[in-house]
Amino acid sequence: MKKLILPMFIIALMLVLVACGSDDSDPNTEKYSEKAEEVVSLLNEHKYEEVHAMFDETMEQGLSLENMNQFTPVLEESGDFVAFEKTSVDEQDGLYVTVVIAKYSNLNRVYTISFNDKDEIAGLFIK
Amino acid sequence: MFGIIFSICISIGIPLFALIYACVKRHYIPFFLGVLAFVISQLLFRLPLLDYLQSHSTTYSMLSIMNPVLFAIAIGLSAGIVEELARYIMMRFFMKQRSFQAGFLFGTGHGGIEAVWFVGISAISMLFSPLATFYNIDFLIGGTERFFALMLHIGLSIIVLHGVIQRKFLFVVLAIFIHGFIDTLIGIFPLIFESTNHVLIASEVSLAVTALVVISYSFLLKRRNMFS
Repeated sequence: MKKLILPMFIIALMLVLVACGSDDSDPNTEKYSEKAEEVVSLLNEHKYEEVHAMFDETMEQGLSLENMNQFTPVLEESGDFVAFEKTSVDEQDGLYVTVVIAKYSNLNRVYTISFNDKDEIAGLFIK
Repeated sequence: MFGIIFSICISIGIPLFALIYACVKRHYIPFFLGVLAFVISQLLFRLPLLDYLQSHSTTYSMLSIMNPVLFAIAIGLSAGIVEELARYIMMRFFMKQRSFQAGFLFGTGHGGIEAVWFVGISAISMLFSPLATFYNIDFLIGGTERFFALMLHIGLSIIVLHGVIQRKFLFVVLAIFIHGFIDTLIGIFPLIFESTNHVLIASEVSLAVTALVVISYSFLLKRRNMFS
């Protein structure tokens, strides 16, 4: 039994990861959570122009408005949007990184959206 | 086509040959226990758990972004822990045969089913695909990787079996860390090298070197008559 304590502890730790979320005491948490969820909502409605308008210069050059149509089949595959399951915010090197788990009728999607100090979108990934 | 055929020979041919050999030598139980160890630990437990965490845990995703090195270590070590513990449990409680040959075939079953699952099945389907030529090199690399992975699994199985026979759990811990180490490297190399080719070379060379060292150690144990 003693030999299994460490591995069981590590596995329990992995399971705890499911329940953990962001630090709610930071005022930026709520602000960027809402911004990120707003971006996801716009993507759900295929309002790519509005999302593209929020991009910083690097994102504008890296992901054109035309290329954003690639999101459409991904979103259609997900099904109908149901709810936001969880949102986390963390800060790194001046960027606010948000992770949003959105529940759809067919599956969950994980959005990683980064905001710079001007509240522009500096990164956007969908899994 | 050579790459795909090579991949099939390694990922399906070797496990199939080992299965036939195991049946002829009446060591099919160690072989199937090896298969079961992989199926239960990875296919039924760890991979579904990681899949669940990826789509339900923001902490999991945030860790992968904010601390990718720690994330790679956690993922690598988790593979080592679940697979080596499964190996230990199967050998300790279900495998009566404790010979080097039994350990060898256990490893072939474990590495074999992994090779079939991750490369063999797709290689077979690719054989009849019009895109076969396009993916030929990928399958050549995949087949080579599976060869060394199989070698590593055989070596790790021998080490764990040695620990079971000697009643020294330290050998299981050693196997966990070797397995975790190589899986961690595979997660860390993309953070170090920008070029995909460099990542590939570093990963494959690391796997090959580790596999050769581990299998050599296992044969050293055999020479010292450490098995029944």
